[in-house]
Amino acid sequence: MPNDDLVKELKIRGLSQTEAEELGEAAKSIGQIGRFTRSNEVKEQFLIKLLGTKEKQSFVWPRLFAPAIAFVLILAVLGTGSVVFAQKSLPGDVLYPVKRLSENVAVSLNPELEQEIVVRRSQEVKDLVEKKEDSELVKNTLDDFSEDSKEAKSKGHANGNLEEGVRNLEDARERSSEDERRQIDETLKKLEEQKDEDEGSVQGTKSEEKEKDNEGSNRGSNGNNDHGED
Amino acid sequence: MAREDDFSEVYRKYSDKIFRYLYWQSKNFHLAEDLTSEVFTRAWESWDSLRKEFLQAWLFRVAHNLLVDWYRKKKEVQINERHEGFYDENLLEKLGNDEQVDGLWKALNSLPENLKRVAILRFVEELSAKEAAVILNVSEVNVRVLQHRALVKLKEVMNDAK
Repeated sequence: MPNDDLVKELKIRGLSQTEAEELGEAAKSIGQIGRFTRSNEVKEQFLIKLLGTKEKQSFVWPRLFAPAIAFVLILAVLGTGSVVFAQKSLPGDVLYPVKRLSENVAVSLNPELEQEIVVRRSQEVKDLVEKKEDSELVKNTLDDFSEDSKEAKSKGHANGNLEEGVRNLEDARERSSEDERRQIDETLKKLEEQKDEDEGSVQGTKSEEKEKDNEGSNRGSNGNNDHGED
Repeated sequence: MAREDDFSEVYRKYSDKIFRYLYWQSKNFHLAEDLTSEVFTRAWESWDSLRKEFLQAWLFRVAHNLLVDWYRKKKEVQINERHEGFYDENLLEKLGNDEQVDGLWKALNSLPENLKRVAILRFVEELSAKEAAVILNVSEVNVRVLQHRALVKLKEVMNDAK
């Protein structure tokens, strides 16, 4: 409501110009204080809950099922035998993309298979080295191994099978060229550092807890406690 | 998606108005949000039969009835069960720390209910006397009489508080 209109209305009710303007100003300040707005986020959350979203209806479903749909299409084109056969393929083979796709589908259905995939990557490195394949392929597969192990670890799946992966890489190292050996060493080093970091953080937490527990009893001792070394 | 798009547009346009109307009457932030959600849930449920030219009046009336009903029966539990409760906690904090907001609440709260409702619709939401009359189910003349009384009283209380 424009302020001028209110002033006019008040004057019609018998108020003087000054009185009407004063009240008009009061009304204006009430509006300024009172007209706050809620965040767009809150509004959108409500709309999503009540209506669902276009994204949900049009895009999320296909995105969720894209690997499965692609897998079915590939099955239709190549036949199930090709997919089974693809499991033995190595990086650089024609059927290798089919193998990776089938892995993605399997992991999307059962995330715990992620650790199995990590071992597969290490086995591929080993096989590639044994077959004396291109070093670039070995390097790419090592990168995939690092990526997959990181991914599996972030989801808490890597603990059991990582040792097997490391053993495969160590076997590969024995037979590898100098260049490949350097790459494998780098990958193993990264893994080792990651492991140390994890253990460090666990130990750190434990020692902090212990420090708190023993705070009272340690007071007055020689003050040379190294809580990290139990 | 035309229905959903139209409704979303209406929600984005009017939900703050409805929220403020409920907030300034109750000064209960979470209740205002819950009841706002309830108003628009009902609007969506009746969307096809709602006459869009009276939409704003319909929304305010439902909000008013829900608030009256809530005060009468304290239906908080049922409302919270129906809505998950998305709240703008930053706004809640901001309003809680704002002296002017507190002053306005005290001034509005000093008014009788009918004057308070007119004041919110006319001075906070800046609706026309005609729109306020439709919402409050009174004549336009009546709205003008009430708004004058409300304004004089509000100015008095706000000046005293300074």
